[in-house]
Amino acid sequence: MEGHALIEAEYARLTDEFSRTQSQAVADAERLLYKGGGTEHYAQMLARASGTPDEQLPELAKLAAQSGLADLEQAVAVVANQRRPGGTSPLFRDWVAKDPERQAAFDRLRGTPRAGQFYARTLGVKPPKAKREQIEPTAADLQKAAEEKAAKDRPRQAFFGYPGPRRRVGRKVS
Amino acid sequence: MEQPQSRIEDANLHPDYRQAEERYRSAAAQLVQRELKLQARVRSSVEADPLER
Repeated sequence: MEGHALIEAEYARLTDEFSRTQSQAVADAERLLYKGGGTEHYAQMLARASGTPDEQLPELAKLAAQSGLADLEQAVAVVANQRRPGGTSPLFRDWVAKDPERQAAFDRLRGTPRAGQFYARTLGVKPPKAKREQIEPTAADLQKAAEEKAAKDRPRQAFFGYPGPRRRVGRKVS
Repeated sequence: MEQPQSRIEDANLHPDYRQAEERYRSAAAQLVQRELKLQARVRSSVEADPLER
């Protein structure tokens, strides 16, 4: 029983480590691309970009880039991405491509399976969960063992007329 | 903010993810082997005559 518990514990640790590492990579990439600096200024820029109609977003993005307003530039990109999700917005893609770190984060997100697919991909290698009948002899096992033992004893029984002498194991202690 | 995620084809998996999954699969497969061996050992031990064990 201890062996099974040990294997289950090792599997739990392995799964936990793998899923934690991948979740962390996704969270880091999302933070870099979508969360902004978490500052009040970024929140204001986000509100401004959100209130901008689609057709004016490219111009706002251009002005933000030319003026070095990084928060506004990111806010415009994020809003553009919300309006055209899945990384299909040219505004968002342009903003991502401007910085290798952002591009790496975008690629990581695009190439990392999320919960459903992640679970489906890794479920196939889960060790079989030991059921009681798998780690203890079943009635069928006992019967099979008894039958094999009877078959094995048959010649001895035929010779001695009873199950036969047994080899004594260990020394007799008086 | 999170991107809607569709199923990712194997060819499009990120190299870092792919490597990590390969390491995970390899380690998990070893655990599966250990589990199966352990089960086989427990199950087969009953077949031996108790006095011969």
